[in-house]
Amino acid sequence: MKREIIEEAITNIDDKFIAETAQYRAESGASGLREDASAASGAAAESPVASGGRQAQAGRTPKKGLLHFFKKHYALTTVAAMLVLAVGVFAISRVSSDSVSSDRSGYAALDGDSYLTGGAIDNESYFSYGMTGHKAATAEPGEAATEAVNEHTGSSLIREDTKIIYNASITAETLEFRQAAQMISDLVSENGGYFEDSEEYDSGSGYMTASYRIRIPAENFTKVTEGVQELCNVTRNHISKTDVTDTYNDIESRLETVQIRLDRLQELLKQAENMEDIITLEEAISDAQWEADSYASQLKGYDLKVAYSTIDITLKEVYKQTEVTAPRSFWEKLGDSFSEGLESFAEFWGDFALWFVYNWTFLLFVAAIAVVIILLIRRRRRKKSA
Amino acid sequence: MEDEKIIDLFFSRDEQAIAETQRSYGALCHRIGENILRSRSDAEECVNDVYLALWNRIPPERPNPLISYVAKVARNIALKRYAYNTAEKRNSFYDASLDELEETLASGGGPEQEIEAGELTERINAFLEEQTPENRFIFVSRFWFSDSYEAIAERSGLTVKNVSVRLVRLKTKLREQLISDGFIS
Repeated sequence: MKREIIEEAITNIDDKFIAETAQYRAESGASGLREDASAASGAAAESPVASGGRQAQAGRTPKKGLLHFFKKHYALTTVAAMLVLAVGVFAISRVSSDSVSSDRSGYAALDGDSYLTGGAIDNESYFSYGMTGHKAATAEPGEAATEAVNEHTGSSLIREDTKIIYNASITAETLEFRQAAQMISDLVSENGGYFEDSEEYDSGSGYMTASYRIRIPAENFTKVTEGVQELCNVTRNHISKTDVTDTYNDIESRLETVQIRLDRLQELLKQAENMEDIITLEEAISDAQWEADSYASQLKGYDLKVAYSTIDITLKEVYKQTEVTAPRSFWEKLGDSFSEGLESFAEFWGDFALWFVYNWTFLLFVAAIAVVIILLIRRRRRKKSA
Repeated sequence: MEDEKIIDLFFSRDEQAIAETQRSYGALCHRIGENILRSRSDAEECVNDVYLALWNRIPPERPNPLISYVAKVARNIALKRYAYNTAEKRNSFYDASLDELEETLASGGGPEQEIEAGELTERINAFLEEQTPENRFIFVSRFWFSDSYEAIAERSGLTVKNVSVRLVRLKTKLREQLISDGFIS
């Protein structure tokens, strides 16, 4: 085919194709326009608006640049997307594990907390024995409870027969877990107490957490709570007292009433002559005895709780203790937030690296799938272009 | 400024029309001139000739779209200047692109139907109509604007290799179409 024909044919192609191409050239920017801009600098001397025009034209940003980049480098885009996804999954799992509450001090509210509701009768039966045993038991703890109350409140107006149950809930942190746990154990032993419940576990990242329920003689309650504060950095300290005096006295009265009835029934039984009366009286005596035993058991339970206060301790191992500082200015807080933010950021990436290495098999599997998908897309594009 | 307003300035014989044309399409004209003439100074003179030609032609002509009209005027002027400057030296992108097309559309040696330039233009238009916008851009940039492979690659966001491969495929398709129509043996 003759060159001239081709030349003429190409020159006269449809205007719309030329316009489309020229428009795209103008919008795409890239080096073409930069070359145009520098080449036209000589002509700019003739017209003062030329340089402004060049700059205005050169300033046009490519509309399709970013999309083209992603289309062109879809392999890189896929890898970047997977990396972002991995970081996102890790961040979510990290936030979820931090939000799980392991505050065991709350369980104090679950076990036998009826005594915390202000005088409700606790029907738990720690041990059972007769009235005399009960009375003997009340004598000493009652006195001890009174002393503990006076010591704690500093009040001299409380009656000597007051029954008060003391409870404490302490959350503390320590840099040396084993040492602190041992010192708490020694403190409890020295003050005549015992561990009713004890649990130690790894709360994650190698830091230990312990939950203890300690029973301490009421007279040593304050000494032990203050002792814990000296041994560890206490972040929460809740002390409550429940006055169960009225409830106790009420049960005591009922017991006395039942006892009187029992004595009377015993008298009647001695006088009974026929079998029917004897059987009836013995049944009545049995019921009364059961009722008396129940009241005695309740009183014993209260005695124990009054005599031995309950302290729930949650001990957490930390690498840095919570500081209580004087009120700070906004700039001080800003500075602290900045440095803490940097620390948190570094810690996050450190943990992410560990997570990444830990899950390498899973990630390798996902990467293999991604490679397969990329190869399939490439093959499809080649077919489409052909 | 919009094309309509630029044309209105031409019609009212306001010299601001030249300034606005320069601002909107000066770079385009320069690029076409450089591609064909391969000389910055020649291209600059060519661009000035383009503005003069537009001033003389508008009015009475009222081109739409203006961009393609300006591009055509620039190309024609550049080609004329090129023909005037050198008849033998063929070192511009323009010659390279024409050589490429000529080689693609070369006859196989057998009898072929005589084709007019207009008819070939129609065939090329029909061919371009079927292509994707991207392929169309590559073809027109190469053979009408005489852009280099690197310039096309940069503007389209593709690699030079990719542009080269696509052009080969486009030329092959065009050839096959002309063969099936009987214009090439």
